[in-house]
Amino acid sequence: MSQNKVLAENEYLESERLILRKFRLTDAADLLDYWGDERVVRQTGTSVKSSLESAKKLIADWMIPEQLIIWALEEKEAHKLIGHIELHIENDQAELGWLLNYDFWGRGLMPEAASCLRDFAFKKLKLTVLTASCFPENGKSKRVMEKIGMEKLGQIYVTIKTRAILSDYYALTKEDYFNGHECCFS
Amino acid sequence: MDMNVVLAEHQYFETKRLTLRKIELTDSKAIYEYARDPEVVRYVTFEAHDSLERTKEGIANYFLPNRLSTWAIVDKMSKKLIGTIDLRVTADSASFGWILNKQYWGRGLMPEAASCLRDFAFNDLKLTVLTADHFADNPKSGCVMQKIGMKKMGQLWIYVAKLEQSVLCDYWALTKAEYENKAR
Repeated sequence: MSQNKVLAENEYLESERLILRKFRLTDAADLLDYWGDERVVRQTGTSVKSSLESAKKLIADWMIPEQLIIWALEEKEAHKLIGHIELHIENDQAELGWLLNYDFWGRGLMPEAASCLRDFAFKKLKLTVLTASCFPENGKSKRVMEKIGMEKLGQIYVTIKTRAILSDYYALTKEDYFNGHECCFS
Repeated sequence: MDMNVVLAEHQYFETKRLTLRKIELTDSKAIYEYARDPEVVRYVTFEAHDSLERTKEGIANYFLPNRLSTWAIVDKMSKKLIGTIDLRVTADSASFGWILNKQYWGRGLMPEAASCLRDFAFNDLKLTVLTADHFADNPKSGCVMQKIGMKKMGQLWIYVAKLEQSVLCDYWALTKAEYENKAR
């Protein structure tokens, strides 16, 4: 099974309130809306984007070349791009990562997107383990990981730029996943 | 401070019972002696070597290109190479990897070699964190980590090519601050 082929066949996914799709250069303004927000990027390994130009550059340098593993999150009602989610695949495992526009926090939207990709990872990509990590003080992200069934296995050091940073590490195995989950790829 | 210069200045170490030195192609016989042993390689990332030629390939493809961060563990008395140890540096942290000839297990030799490199990592390389991991189903490996003052942080999934799957591993770490507190 070619993982890239499966990824290419699933560039568009849909959940109850969200459309998961590929980035376009015209998403730059919406991207800047959340990536330019200190409250959103504070507890992640990235830094604030401060101009429309840098948002465009990010889409051109990263989102488009890596489009197989990055999905833009579009809120159906507002028709607005409100964040993104990534699935970094390494052999039989993958790591989830995300950012969400501050105005859309607290509605369970990220668990909705993440569980959609979780189902995709196990059912379509047939992966063995799904992982995620975040700074220990990032309670919001930890809640997302717990809501999609992940379990904290401990703390690991993750190298961000030039420094090793202590992070909480979560994982969900195929076995635990298939022990009683309903999902959108049945 | 240039990390590679510091590594190049520390190609040789001496402990009570061991010397640590660079690995040469001429070490292939001594390495093959344990690299062919299924019990020794069971919990490491490579498969048992089926020929001396395979060991030479291993030296040429791994130890020589990574010469600055890998050391042979040599028994002082017999001058025999009995294992290897490496310090894989990423930015301000490093992770340990090691292997030891079965004949020399159970004598505290690996903690002796590892604590020597631990001191070097914090005092000379000025690293912030040292980490190490081992297959979770081999808790005995954790003894070395424990003996050199590392703390078990939890578990993580690591892909192991020879098994073609991710394996649950115990994960250990020691920070510079913890190290300096203990040394005091």
